[in-house]
Amino acid sequence: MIFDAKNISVAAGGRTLLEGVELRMDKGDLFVLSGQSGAGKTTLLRVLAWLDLPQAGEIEFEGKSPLEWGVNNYRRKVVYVSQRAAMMDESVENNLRRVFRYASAGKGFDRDRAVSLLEKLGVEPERMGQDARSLSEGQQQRVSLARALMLEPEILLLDEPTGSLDPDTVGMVEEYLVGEVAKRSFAILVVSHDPGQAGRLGAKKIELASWLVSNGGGGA
Amino acid sequence: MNEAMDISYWQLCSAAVLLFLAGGISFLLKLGLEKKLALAATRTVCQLLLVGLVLDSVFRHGTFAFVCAILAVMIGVASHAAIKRPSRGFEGAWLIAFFSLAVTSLLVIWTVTRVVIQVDPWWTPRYMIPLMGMVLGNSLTGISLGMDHFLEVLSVRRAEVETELALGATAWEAAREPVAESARRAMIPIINSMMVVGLVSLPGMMTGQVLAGSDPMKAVKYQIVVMFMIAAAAAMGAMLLLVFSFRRLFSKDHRLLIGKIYKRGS
Repeated sequence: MIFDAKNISVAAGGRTLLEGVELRMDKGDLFVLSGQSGAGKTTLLRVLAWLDLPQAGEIEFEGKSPLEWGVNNYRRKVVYVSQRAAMMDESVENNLRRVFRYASAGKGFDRDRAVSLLEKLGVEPERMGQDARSLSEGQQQRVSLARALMLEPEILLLDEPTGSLDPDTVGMVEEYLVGEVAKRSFAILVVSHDPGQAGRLGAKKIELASWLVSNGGGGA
Repeated sequence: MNEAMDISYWQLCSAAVLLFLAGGISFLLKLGLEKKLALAATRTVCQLLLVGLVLDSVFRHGTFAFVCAILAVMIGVASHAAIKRPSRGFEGAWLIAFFSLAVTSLLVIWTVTRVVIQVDPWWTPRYMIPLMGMVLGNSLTGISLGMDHFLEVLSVRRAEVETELALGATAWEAAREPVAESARRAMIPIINSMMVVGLVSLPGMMTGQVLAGSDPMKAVKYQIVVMFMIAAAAAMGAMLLLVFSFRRLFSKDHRLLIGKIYKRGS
């Protein structure tokens, strides 16, 4: 078991949303998390990425907590990709290159790998030089995914990664992710509102319902 | 030095005639400014006379402890003004502003009174208090602008900052650009005024000195010292403030504590 979240409670705005969350993942696992909006799916992903603190519970990656890893090192292995892609105000290439400037970066930027990743996700290599913010929303979302993949994560926490994509590109992204999971490159926990996605990914479905705090289900 | 020409109270009143003229025009044009103008003029007179009386007594009998107390009040008020201007705030901002202003303004003024003008003792109120007023007035604008920008970036561009964190940046790596940008913002007014000083504007202090009878070269030398002092204090004050604000708004385990930032008014 490389990733083990035990008895996690999640709160937002001072209100407990989820309680007793148990989540175990190994490379090659693919889970789809679904539930009403406002139920705490995004917050749960943020907690697992240590961007927000859990109210209670423990998270371990390869037997060590995020703090024992050093949170920045932990986040390189357990990578969260937000629903809305946040592109820095620079070229696509520099957006991808940026993550190798951090102290936690193990190695240097591999441009060929970046280009091939973009291609697999349906973004033309010519886009590398383009200002990232001038891309369409769907392209930005895929660049954002590629940026996370550049880190060679072990756990990917994806918040609606195909929400802004058209059906064709959704297929490309899904195909790539399923292929990598089959190779046991990483494990994925994906939040999805697309009812067919779990089936297409061959993913195990996790319903948030069992963790919902009774008064927290219907919130905005 | 030529003896400064003293202005009699009678002469002072004749300057007020100009204000009556302005008020009269406002009244004729129904601009409704005359009340505000009268209030502002009265406040100017009262506040400055009060300061004059205080300064007079401080210059005569100022002990070290007394000077310290006055400086603490000045820095306290400046900190308050500095953190009230930005459209966002956070808990503990006043203390951070106070500390940043106190450390940098005292360091700069100590250097000037001790090394440059060589006053003995270095806290001689006649030098210390006016210099402090000038330095604080400018640093305050700087740290206000710096803080305003920093809080705005963290709020408006939160997604970018947190994306960097999520991709393995340390808190400092994620905040470095916003901090640098905010420091630049803080420095804009003072850099601008250093660029055009003497060409476009004659600084108030220098003008005052010349009007009071000092010879221009002497006034110029003082003005250069003052500009350097103001720039150094504004730069260091803003940087210190930003570093402390950074430490307050990011946790040690590299999280952005967005909940600490609140919006004013609205």
